[in-house]
Amino acid sequence: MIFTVVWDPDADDKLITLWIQAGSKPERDAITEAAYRIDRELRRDPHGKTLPLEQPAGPPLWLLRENPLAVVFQVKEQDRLVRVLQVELASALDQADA
Amino acid sequence: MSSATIRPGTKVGRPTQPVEKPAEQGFEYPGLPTTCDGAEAVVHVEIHVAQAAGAYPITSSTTMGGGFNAAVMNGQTNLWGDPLLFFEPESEHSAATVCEGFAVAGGRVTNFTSGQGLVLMKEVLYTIAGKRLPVVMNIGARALTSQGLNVHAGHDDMMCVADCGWGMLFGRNAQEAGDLCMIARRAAEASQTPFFNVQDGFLTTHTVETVRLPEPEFMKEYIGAPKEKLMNLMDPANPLMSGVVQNQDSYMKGKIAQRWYYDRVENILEECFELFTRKTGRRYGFVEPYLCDDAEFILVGMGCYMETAKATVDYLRKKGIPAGCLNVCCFRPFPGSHIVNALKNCTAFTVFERMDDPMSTTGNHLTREIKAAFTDAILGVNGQEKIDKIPRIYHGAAGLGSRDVRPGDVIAAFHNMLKPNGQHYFCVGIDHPLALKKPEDPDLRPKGGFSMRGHSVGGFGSVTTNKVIATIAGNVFGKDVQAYPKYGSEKKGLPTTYYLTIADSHIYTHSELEHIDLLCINDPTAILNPHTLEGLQTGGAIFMQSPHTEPKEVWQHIPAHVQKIIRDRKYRVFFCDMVRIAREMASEADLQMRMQGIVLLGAFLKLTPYAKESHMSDEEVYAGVEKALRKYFGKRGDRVVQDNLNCVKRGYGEMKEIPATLIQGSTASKSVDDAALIAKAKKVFNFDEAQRVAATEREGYSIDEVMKHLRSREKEQ
Repeated sequence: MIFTVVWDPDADDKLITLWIQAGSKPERDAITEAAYRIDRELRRDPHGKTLPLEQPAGPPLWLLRENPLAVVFQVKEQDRLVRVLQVELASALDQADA
Repeated sequence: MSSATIRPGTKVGRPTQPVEKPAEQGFEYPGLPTTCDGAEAVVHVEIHVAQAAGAYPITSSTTMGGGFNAAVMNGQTNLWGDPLLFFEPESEHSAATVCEGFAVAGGRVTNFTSGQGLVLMKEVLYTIAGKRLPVVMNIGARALTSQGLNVHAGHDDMMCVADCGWGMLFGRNAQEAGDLCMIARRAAEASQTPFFNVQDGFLTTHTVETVRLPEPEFMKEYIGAPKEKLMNLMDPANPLMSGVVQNQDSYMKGKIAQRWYYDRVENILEECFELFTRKTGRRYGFVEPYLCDDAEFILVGMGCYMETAKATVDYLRKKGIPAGCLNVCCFRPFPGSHIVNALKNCTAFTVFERMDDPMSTTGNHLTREIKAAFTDAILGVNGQEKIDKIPRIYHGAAGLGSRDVRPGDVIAAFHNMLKPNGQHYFCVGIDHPLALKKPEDPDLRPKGGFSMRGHSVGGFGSVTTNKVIATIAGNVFGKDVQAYPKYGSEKKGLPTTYYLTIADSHIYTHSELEHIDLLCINDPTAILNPHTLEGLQTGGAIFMQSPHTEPKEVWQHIPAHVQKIIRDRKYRVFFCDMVRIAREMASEADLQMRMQGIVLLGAFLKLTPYAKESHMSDEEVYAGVEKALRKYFGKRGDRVVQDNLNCVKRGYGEMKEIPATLIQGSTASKSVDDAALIAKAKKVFNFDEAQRVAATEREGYSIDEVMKHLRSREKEQ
């Protein structure tokens, strides 16, 4: 079953910002490739390598890490739609305190 | 039979008393208790009273055509000894013409059709009505192909033929589908007017429920012999002209003259309803008002969701909302005065319709007719008693193409009426600017009800298994049941979902089950998706296919995030290699695939308390199981029945459970890592903002568009 993956405008803006801020071509390429990998992964199986993020209320959210990126996204099963809502550098996760 | 209940105190194992449903006291013909779907109920009537079917059945009416044709092939005769005939020409248009010809010659004929099939007949429907031929057609109402094909329930097809001069009765469940088939036949022949007997495609035609089928003696008495009721217009001894060319001199005279027949239909139908009620105790009328007398807010509609509405009205009443609902059983002749009488004193009413016609700016068909009836009433004309005010009127599209209509959708419609500025037109059940949001979605199953949902693949035999289980629960254990499938028109190879509810009283809600006690997973990929577990009550049970024999192996193959849900909600997990059992027991190659599903029946007998509570011996239970298997597989021979029975027994014996200690104790390092990652993610991402955005319907960009934006910004740099 194939899902349609869309990036929310805010996530799109943030991805562009991360890409522009990346210092070198290899870093930018890595971001581009990760974005494509995220798209492929979510299209094929949005629950495959992802983690559910437990929130007390509201639509369920999921996390996927594809270095050097990590995204938070929403899955709309009935519409077979995945919405990427936020994107950050995966290194920020490593630096954060658990 | 030893029975392992799931867990004392949980819903699955909750003890319930078998129901001994008494026959309706004081009625001559209370009906024969059984379980069947709406299509079977219609077939039961038609093979007893009709002489022939002229049909080219189309989904969802095919099971009606198949049932009638099976009786023909078995050499069955009707109640008067006439051998049954089945004509299947090359299209629905021709099938309608067969009906016309058979009826012109004085025969009693039926038809089974749906959707585009009915629309294709439209030309002939006018001639059948114009010649006063009392044909009865049984319809599985279906959405018409529009922007896409849909084989499921919609009322577009019926509204498309509402102007052909036919009577039109709508049933809400299998019981009503069968009963209204009889009422339509009697009314048609008494009024010389053809009738449609309509039920919602799939939602009623394919939903197995507890019913009382009319006794043959009653059908014989109520309908009467064809030769005594019907007229042969082709009798050379009494020649007459019918269907000739009529020009300016005579066409209009003939058309208007038909009003004499139509003026009689309402009274005749009323007599048919009244006689049916007197004989059976089952009450029918043009409309069925439910708690409308003192209701301030009323929901109006036709078809199966009006039973869901009934249960929801009870719920809203308990919350202090003066709600009521009005089921319109008869759309033609349109019962304007009955509807106005039921609605005139309320503050507001809403009309639900299973179709959408935006070009009619005054509303969809039922809404338009009700508005017109109120106009007559405010003017005091057309037989209407004069009224002083018209309630506020709202209308909405619900359940198009079998889109689920939930109690929450009904509640949303009532909340819309409660607002001073509610939406006059709306839809429910989808995300759209015009859609009403469900304020809540309560579980309205009968108290003590048990529900099961299965996730399978078309061709595994799971949908039939679900029907077999319903048959056993109803016929062997004496419960009220409702079993239905959800699948597309693609048939084999794609996901199917099946639902079963068992209770001690009638199950009113006709919506997909989101509150379940047992989850069955035949499709091995379904367990990978946590959404599969949605609605399973805390402490409920999962029964799943697994090729592994050791509980530890099975558990290891469940994804960590699903394991966590299982652990947190204290589910019990049972498994069995249904594929292997089917492969080993199948005496025919094609059964290897089809018998996977039936293994579930063994698990059902073991996991639920019904077999134990029935105080039946193993032999008695298995005799009941065999009888049910024979109903569905008997046509394929005794060997196939025995193969299925052996699968059931092996399912009962070979099902294993993953120990709770293994489930609760599995805090693998991966899970610890996951928890740490999530904790970090909460600091890096803004979850609240993400959820706020998730709740909106903003348009997003595809990855290709994202990359275009990226490149354009790169150029700007």
